Amino acid sequence: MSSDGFTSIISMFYAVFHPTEGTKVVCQVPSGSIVPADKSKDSSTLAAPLFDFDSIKNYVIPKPALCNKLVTFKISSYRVVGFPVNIYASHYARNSFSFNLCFVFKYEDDTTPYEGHVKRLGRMFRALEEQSQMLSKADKNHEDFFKPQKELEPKTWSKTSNYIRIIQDEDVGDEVTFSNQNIKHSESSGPILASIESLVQQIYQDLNNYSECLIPIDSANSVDIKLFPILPPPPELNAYDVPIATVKLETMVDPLWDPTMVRILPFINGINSIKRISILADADYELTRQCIQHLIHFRSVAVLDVFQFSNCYAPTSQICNFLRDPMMASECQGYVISSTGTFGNLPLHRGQDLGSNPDIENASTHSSLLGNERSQMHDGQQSFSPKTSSYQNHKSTQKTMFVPLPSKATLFFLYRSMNQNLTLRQWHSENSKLLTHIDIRRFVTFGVLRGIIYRVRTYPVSNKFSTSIDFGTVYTNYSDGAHPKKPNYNVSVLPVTKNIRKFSNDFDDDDKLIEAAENNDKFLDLTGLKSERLRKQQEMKLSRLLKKCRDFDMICTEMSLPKKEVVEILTKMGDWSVINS
Amino acid sequence: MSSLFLPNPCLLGILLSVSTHDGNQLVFHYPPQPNEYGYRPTPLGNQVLNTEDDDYSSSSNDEIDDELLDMNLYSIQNGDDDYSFSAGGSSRGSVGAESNGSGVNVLGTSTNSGGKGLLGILDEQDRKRKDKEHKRRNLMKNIIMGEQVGQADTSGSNRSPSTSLVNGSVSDQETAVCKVDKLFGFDVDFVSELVTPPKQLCNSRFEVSVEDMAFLGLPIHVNEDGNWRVSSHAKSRRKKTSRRKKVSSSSESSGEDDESDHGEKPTKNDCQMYMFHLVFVMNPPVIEYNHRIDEMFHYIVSRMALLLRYEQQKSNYVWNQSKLILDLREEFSSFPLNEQWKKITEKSSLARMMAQTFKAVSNSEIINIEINNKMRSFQIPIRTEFSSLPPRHTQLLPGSTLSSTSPFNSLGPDLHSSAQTNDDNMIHYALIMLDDPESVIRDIQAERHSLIANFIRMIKPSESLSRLATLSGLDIAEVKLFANHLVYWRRAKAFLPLSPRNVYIVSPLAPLSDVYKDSNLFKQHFPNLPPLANFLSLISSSSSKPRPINTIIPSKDHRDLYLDAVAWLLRHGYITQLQTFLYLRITKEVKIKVEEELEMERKNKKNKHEGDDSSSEDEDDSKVASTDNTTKKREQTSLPYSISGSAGSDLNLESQSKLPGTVYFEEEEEEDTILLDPQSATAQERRWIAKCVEGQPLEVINLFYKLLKYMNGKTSLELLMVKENISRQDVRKLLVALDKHVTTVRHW
Repeated sequence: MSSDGFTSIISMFYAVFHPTEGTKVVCQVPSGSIVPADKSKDSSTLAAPLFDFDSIKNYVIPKPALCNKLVTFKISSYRVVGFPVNIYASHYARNSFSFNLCFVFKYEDDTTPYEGHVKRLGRMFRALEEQSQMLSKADKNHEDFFKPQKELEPKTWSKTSNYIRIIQDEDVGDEVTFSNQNIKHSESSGPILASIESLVQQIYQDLNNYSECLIPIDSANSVDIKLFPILPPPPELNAYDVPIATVKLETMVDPLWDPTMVRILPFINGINSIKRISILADADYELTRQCIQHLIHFRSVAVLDVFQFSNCYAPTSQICNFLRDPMMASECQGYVISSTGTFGNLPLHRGQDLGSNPDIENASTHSSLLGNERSQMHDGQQSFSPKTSSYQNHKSTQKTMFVPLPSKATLFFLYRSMNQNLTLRQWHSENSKLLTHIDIRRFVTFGVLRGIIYRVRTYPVSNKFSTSIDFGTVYTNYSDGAHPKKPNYNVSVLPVTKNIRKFSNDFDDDDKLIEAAENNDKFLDLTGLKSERLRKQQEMKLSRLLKKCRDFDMICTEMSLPKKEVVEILTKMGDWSVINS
Repeated sequence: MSSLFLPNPCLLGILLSVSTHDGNQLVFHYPPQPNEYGYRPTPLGNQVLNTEDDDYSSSSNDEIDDELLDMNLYSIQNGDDDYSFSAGGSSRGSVGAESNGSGVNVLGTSTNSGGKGLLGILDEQDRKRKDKEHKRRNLMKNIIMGEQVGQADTSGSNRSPSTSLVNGSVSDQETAVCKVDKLFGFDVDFVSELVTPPKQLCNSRFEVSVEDMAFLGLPIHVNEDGNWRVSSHAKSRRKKTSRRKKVSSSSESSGEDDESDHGEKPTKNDCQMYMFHLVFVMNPPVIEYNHRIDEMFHYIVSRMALLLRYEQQKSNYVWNQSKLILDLREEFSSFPLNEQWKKITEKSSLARMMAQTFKAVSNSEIINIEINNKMRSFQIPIRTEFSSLPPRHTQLLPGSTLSSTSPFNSLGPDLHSSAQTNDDNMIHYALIMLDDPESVIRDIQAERHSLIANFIRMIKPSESLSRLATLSGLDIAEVKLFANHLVYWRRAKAFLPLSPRNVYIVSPLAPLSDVYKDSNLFKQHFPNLPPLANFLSLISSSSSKPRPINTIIPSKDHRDLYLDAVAWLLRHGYITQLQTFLYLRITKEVKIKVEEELEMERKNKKNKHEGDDSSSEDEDDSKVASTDNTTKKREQTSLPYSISGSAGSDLNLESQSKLPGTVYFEEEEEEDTILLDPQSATAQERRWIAKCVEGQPLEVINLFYKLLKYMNGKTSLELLMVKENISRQDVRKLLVALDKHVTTVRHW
């Protein structure tokens, strides 16, 4: 492994098919790694080759069918990655020239970062060879590769063939012409490429040491490689997911960054949900979501839940790491302590009965869900920089205070005392004494990110669905989103009445409520009708979500309603209960 | 989004190539017309699902599937079209036939995509993708729950493009060619050359990849002495045969050492073959390449190759079959390809084996093949047990279970070696069958009254293995073997024995999106219980903390019914048991007391013999730091935290700077400590421990010392009670008495 976490190249070699000698290794780094080094043994020369080259000859320079494709193969405990190239041209001794620049890695290592580059290198060398026989002529006995010159017109053939090739090669145009001049120029002073060996040597060293290389070959071509890890695609995100930076994103901003990315950056703080970030940054939600996905892809952001005091958390089996990992507990101490506790910067009296204070949910509104504008306004500034505001508050009261640091055992105790059925609010009021100087949000964030606690999600379930006896059959036939015949209409766009008709089919007749309401419509005045329609829409939406068994976070986001109102609608719709999972 | 835990065989085809002195020959391949998919990798996880469709089996054409796949992958703007197309349902097949050449035109019914904005299309895509995902989950669930998925009849039976081939090729290509000239885009001859390495590369893993398509195999080359198997091995085996191990007859996995060797000396003379190679052609997703290749090689490729080598050594099996297949191909060469293949697979057991393997692997099923009247099974194990919660957004199979203590968790690569490690605890576990006992017995082809059949009938979720051993009169080692076997072959899952006192929570991995669908199933099994959703709700939200299951059981008469339901829920991964783990916490009061006592003793000693003892005391102090993470060195006292916290990380410093200058955090001189390994406590720690139980009744102290070595957070109390035969009352007494010191943590 190199410093960047890329697997290192064990060896590189360049092999050609020699007209008389067959497949042979022209150069190898380190020397002696592929075939025994005959000359100039230096300190880096390997005593014995890594593997028996003869047995893989046919894979290094394969038949044309395999050429111009990325070909890798296993030999003893190594993996050889190459891009065999085969060029047909009448001027070659056998009417064709074959070569392969191969990279050797440990068999079990991940070679994906290199594969694209190996391909690219192969294609570039092919082009160079086609343009100027750069590779075939680099050999000191390069006459071997060509037909005796008398068969062609002596001395001028290379020029003319170059010329012809360039004219044929329409894609590249001027650039090639330029390089052609350059080649002509350099032809007089010897081969363009000092030696393939030195090039290979440099690629090998630079990639292993710096994971990148910039090696000019001639004025038009260069070997520019930077390794990038191939990472799995990022997960699909939901509007209620809360990103938190795991690196210092501000320090990485570059003027070339995507404008949306720059815009949303200040709002990524482990408090705002993606939806809210997009609102606060005045950016498009979809773009915001994609930006966050990008950040996740590069592992500079992790995803949390919206912090709410109604959330439940519980220890995972990893909780023992808090004690066993020597760093974790002290990092936690450093991260969660807060001189003022969770509510210090808020106009609240600490010590009052927090559990019963209805304001808390808003006060710490870290929790406000979407659409709850009031609370958004409320904590608009605070949530971004709670620390600084508290700082200002306290500066005025110059009073030095020594506070015992929450001990590691205490922190452990706090984590373990969470459980599946205990909301943070209850947990806080049970442990408020210990939490005086702990920022609960940070405490939870730390636990979740380190995997020692997990968020217990709350799923409302309606008894209506589960008690109806034939629900199951109806359900499997019609719902589940995979409705084969019925087109899906967007609820909010179509007139409600139409909707109902369509959906009463879709949902069979489990929404009798709605039908009944439809009949009532006639007797209501216009504004009543409007709100009634709205309500019905909401109920339909909700019952759809309920059927899919979504958790409250999802439902609240989808409906753009605070949990309280969702609960109200639920209660109106009939019996319901929750599953904590 | 990692999808490593999902099965993804990404198998394109299986080839058999042999080398004779006349040259290489590709004897057989399956399916008859595999597709190379442009050497591109299988898409990851859910992306893949786009290719499958409801009415897959009724009208399937692999050309079309290619189109769909390609379009999904490579042209997003067309993505919507093919969705609408596939939603077209029944008409699909006919339209599809026309669209072979230029699918985009036919598919590009841009009417509905024209109206929508890009967002709409994306949403639509998301939605569709989720639907597909859902279907796939059902399939996976079937796999998990051991409900065999019919191969052709179940719609969309696999997300791998290769399956479409299985279905498609059988039905459609009647008119097609009689001869295969190209395989994976190469000439057939070239393919056989490609997979015929020189001898130096034989008898070890072979892997050649072309772009993203991999040829994986274990080429078997005959030895110098004409034997196929390593001669030393063969010799030792010959000796061994008389005392054949009983074990091997029931463990089909290795296929190496068992069975007799009548006909040990094969008819070597008529075997012109000197090498054979069973090659699996795969196109794994790029980022899972190594994982999928390793998996396939380890569980399937190598084992099958060794099995064939064994049979070749014994009865010249591979060569005879190869000759047979080649003859048959000659004979049927005038038939259409599918006909040909059908006939060959009927007549040749090797060809049949390849076909079965291909189908089973493509469906992530267990491969059951018969060679020379012996049944062999192979599988790529499916990961459904997790000791810790996988990262969010990781895709798992529905029905996955969580347990940090299960001894079966580690049943990964090698059944027999890892079985040893957790042996002791295993016998305290119980099994829950994933299927009806009788059908399991039928599936594993056990005799109706054989030992294992009787054992399977006895299995009850409330009986631990050790009890089952007693009841059945079987040897405990045998019971363990059976249990391992059942778990490994996806027939059972292991849990701690069910008891109404156990605490269960709804698992964080519970497949809740299926809850209403499963509700029906649940109702069939338990018509007298509340519906599934309500039942789960009862379990999960009855009080302020998870409680034993008996709090929801209305009366003693309901006990068995409810426990059955619990077993059902465990089996389906809805719930998981919450276990209790113990830690020993030394409070600062205890520490101070001990310190005082030590001080006193020291003084006394000093008075007696001057300064004899101090050095040993120091030693103790220094040892403390090593075993115990939470005590700090004595010197670091009463300094402001910003200074003493130097041991902390960057995080530490960062938050320091943010803190207002007025409040200082300081570390306390003494603070509580949690011992990590009380069993190997230092002298000082032992004093602390002694101090903790000082003044407790004798029985509490005895129990405490009995449990002391388990107070490391590793062994669950529930297991301990079974293992050490301790009653719940005693434990409760202990926990109440030592409330301050014994810290319990509850997780799975």
